[in-house]
Amino acid sequence: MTDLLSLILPELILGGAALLLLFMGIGKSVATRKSAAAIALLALIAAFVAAARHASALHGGATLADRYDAIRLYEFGQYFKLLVCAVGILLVLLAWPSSSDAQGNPSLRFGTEASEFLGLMLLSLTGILLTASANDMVLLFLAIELVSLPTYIMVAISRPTAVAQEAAIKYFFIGAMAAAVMLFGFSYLYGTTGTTSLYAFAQMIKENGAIGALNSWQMLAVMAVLLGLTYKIAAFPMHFYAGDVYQGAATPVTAFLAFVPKTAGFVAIIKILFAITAGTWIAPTQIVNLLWIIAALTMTIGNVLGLLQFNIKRLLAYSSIAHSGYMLVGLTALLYAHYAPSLHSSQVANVQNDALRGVLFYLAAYGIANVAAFGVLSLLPAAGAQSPGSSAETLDDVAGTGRSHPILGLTMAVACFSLIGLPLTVGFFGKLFLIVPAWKAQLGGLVIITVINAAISAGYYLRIVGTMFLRPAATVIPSASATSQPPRRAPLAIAVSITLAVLAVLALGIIFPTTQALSHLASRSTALEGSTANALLSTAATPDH
Amino acid sequence: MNELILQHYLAVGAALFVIGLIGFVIRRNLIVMFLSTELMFQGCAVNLIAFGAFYGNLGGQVFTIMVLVIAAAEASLALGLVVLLYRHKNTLDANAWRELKG
Repeated sequence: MTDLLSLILPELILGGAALLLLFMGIGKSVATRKSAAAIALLALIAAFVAAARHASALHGGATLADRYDAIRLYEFGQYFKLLVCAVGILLVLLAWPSSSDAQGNPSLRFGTEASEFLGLMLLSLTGILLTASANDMVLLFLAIELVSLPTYIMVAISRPTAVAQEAAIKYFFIGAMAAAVMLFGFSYLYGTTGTTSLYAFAQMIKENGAIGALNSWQMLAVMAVLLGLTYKIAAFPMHFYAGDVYQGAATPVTAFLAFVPKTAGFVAIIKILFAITAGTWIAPTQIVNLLWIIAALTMTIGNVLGLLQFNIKRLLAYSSIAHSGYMLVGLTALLYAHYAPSLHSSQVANVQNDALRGVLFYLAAYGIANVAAFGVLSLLPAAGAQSPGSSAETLDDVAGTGRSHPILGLTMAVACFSLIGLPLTVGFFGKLFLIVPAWKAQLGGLVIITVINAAISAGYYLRIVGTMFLRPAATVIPSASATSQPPRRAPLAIAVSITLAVLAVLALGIIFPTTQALSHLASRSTALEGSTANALLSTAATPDH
Repeated sequence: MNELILQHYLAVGAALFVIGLIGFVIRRNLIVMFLSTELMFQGCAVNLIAFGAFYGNLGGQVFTIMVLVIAAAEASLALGLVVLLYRHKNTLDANAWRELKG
């Protein structure tokens, strides 16, 4: 029983800074608005430190909970907090405001709205941290909505174009519908047990001997919650908005959308699966089959539609759908391990642990490479310059830029190689850690589909790289050429962000000890309940195999 | 047998939810589409209150109040966005917005 306020210290720091930034937006002086980005950065660093201190306190499998059990901290949540704060720093640097006449990244022309924009960004990140701490369905639902609601506004104000507003309205309406579906699921989850606490829910499942055998109301509830969450992670039934929204938003906002709601969605899915399986990861076969189908369809749809795109942001949107599919393979392996016909029962826990580690590791690998790819894109100018201050959008825009800007071109190449999963990048280990447990869990069919999909994705990622290096620059209309002169000096903040991201991609891919350190951290963080505190969940004998 | 039991409330909740969902899919007016999502939220709220009364604990009611908060936040956001869009095209028809395709 620890003090509630000390448990949510990282959230308080970020949320407080967000409110401060929203107030500063009213301020008239330019100086206050200019300091907004620095404040956002400091708040993220402070939140990172606070989360790291929690993590070291939790080291060894302890659990910290508040009096009402609404917040439960364990290493699983801390991993996501550290990851989100670290990638959040890169994302804030990517969205660093610059006055519109300065060289650099005018795709975010939010001049006077800079501090509101950063405030909304921090609010959304606060939502993820809360999602990672939440142990109560009420708090979990609120946290997930806190992740999404600010992003709707961010999309709308990111560019002064009708396209951005169209993207925002589509994003918002489908999001509201998905939230309602998810809430419907939560209402039945509450209704079947009478408790909103996920931990108490898991205990009840355990006591009723209902592990792996939910009743039909609970099945309906879980399906509704999963359906609602597929919107957040942009997976199969609710993926269709991704292309439009990612294309319409300004590039730094797209980078944010591709990582932040996805992470929140996966945290929530893992927490829900933990609760309904009472921590044993033994789910009803229907749910396992459902995840199998969603994973296969998500990967395939994302990659096949990605092949057809000419707009790079749209292409990366479909590829982000595919990446959700890969991570769902990990979740399928997690739940299928128990049912694998010839897997020795002593091996099941190992495979489950590896599968969850794969998902955690992949989110980190994807987040970093994602920042690098979108960062490069935000630095390249649009050839046609159809709207003022837009960054590169189509393949024609980036044609030949690899030769005129070798560093940007190489950066994009590294990011794309990592997203494909080529060796010497972190993406390779990401894919490896997902595929190996899936293979061990005897999901042969799904592994084959994953590998085929990885090969398909190479097609469009290599097309980006190929266009940048091999195709001559498109001849631009003279009137537009003034605005689209490539040699723009990169603003420092964006350059720092991309450099850090690329160094991380390479370091985690080439220097094996760092890879191992991250995978150890992920592996440790697969415990959703501290081993010392979960007496009730672990002592009861595991059900028949 | 005129007594109201849990199932009656759940039927009302589910009906509100499904009507909202159908409305969201078939109507093209942005305001009506938003009202449909509100209807879905209220269907969930009916469920939560019914379950809360059934179990005699406060979880459902607390959840409902939080749902209303989210619904209110979404309402303010939706109306802001709709006004923004209306200024561009002078129509509330969702089909007028189809520049993004692919």
